[in-house]
Amino acid sequence: MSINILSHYNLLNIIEAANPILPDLQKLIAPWHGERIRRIDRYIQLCLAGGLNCVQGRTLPADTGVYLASRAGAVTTSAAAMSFIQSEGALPKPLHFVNTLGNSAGYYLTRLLQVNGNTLVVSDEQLSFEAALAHAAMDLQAGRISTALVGGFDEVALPVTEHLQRLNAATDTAALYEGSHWLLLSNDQANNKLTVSPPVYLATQEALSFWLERHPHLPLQLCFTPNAQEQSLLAKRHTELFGSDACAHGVLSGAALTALVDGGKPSIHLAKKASGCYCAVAIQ
Amino acid sequence: MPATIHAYDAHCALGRGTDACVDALLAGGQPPGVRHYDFLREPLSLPYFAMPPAAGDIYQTLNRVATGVLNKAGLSPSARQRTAVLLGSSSFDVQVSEDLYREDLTRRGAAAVPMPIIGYGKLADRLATELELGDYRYTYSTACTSSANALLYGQRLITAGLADHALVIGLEWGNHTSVLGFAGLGLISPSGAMHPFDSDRDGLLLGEAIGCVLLSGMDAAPAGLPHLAGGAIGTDNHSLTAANIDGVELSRVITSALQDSGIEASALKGIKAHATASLKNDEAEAAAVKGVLGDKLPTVFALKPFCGHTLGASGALELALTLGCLARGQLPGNPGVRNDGGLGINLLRETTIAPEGYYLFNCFAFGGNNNAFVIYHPAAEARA
Repeated sequence: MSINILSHYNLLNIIEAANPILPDLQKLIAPWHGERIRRIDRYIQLCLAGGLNCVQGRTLPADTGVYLASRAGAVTTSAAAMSFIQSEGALPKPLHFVNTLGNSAGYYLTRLLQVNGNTLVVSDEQLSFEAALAHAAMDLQAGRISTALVGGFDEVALPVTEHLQRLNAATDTAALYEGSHWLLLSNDQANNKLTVSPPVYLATQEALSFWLERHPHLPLQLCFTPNAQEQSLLAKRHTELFGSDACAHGVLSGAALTALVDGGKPSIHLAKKASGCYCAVAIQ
Repeated sequence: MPATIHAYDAHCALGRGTDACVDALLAGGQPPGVRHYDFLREPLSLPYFAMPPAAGDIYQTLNRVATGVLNKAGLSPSARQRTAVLLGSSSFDVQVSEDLYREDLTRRGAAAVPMPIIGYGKLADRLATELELGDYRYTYSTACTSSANALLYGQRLITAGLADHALVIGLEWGNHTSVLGFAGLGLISPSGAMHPFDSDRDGLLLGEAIGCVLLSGMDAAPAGLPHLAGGAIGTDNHSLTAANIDGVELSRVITSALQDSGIEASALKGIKAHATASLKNDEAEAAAVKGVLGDKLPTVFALKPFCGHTLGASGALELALTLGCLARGQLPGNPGVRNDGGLGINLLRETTIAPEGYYLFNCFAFGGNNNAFVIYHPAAEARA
């Protein structure tokens, strides 16, 4: 069963390695929450900027499920806490420590949205956004909730040279993505907007081939650079590569999926984990 | 739909393996050890419930524990491919990052990269690849509710027909960041002992642990085993670091858990309290429990005084410890409790016979993420 998309939001920044300027996120938060929120780091700002702009001031049902995805979490703050302990020989600042925890971004978002239902932070390497979507789909389809807010966000922690080491990326990488990508979903069948399917996991190329044969008509959006075998498998399909302008952040799939929704054309989003598993999501 | 609790294991300060843990627990446990932080500008020594030493790093240990649980359940290779992996943790492998950073600091000084390893999901992905498990490989980072949430989603994956089995792991691997972070917040008990729900409680102690629970569909496991009946997750955004002491949001999640499990509060035979011995959280939990169940409570017991607060691991660990006790037909008493009546919750003092029936597990976290779940445990005779 597919799920209705009520709203979407996509913030995808390219950070130049040679001149790493992080765009201001407060100005994206301000229209929805005029009061400046103190003591939040960029990771939390990414969550708020994306979530609030996706919701667009709607009043959500109090039991709206909030499903947050991140591959890497609050890297800047975690690194600062570790440096404080090991290099400075001091206890981490309380707020630094609390902001390293997975829940903190969700706390600020749910507080601003005034929702108190099922909130989750879930991760699965390159398929982290799909993981959050899968959890939302499970709860929507089981009737546990009627509305789900799904968001993925990952940051570039400065300095860039250190972040590239963390990502095992080439030292001469020219640019990196950071972003915040969101879908507001509903199981309300009366809505005639675009729908998203629950993610389908395909462990092998054989499984991928079989699945694609059963979905022959939709164009494919690839969130990974296909190898020779994959190119051969996909040769007869209309494919479009997403996200090749910079080093991928952890939730590039979220950027890709929200871009598909933005385009409004039925398509299949296909992503791949470094360990080999594929994941397909249909937008129709 | 309930999920059978097919097999489980517990590793914590009480011991390595469920039997060792339960032996120690029913014998009254041991006081915590001490961790010294001499590298700090102001050196610090803190009580800590460390696991007994054993060979192997975090990756090898996870593999060994998970393999043991899968073997206990006797899952075939094809059944393993229909097994999801759900790992919940607060700190993941931050200890490995800390070690690498320390070496890097020695080698390169200011050029060293703090937090050199990132990626919440790589432990579960690596483990599932090593053990040839299924494609659903989810990692939960909701602080202290991480593995409790993993348990509920394991059940939901099975109920949705997406997996036949779900290997749920709670992990807290000893590290400086967690301990010193809590110390910085002033939450570690100065007296070095946890006294949940007492008037003079003064905070918590931390511990490390791995709890591992294999859930299976009711038709994919032998009959007569305990089962996870249901549960709920809720959000209390009153404060980043403490539950609202009125207990309203905690009551709501407990009530939802009972509804999801299809039972009335009166069916509960026991409550495994979250019981962190923190000033506000105990007050909130006491208000919530009494708000849902009234003043006539079933047996309430707490495990953290024996093994510390194992943070993201606590959901799976405390379930495995409780199951180990229930399998022996006992509920663990804590002779050290004072039950001074301050919050109206009297913890079990003497180990007692565990009746067949439903047990509630409370698990609450920083950031206002709250979880409550219910298990059913059959009578010992039924299992025999």
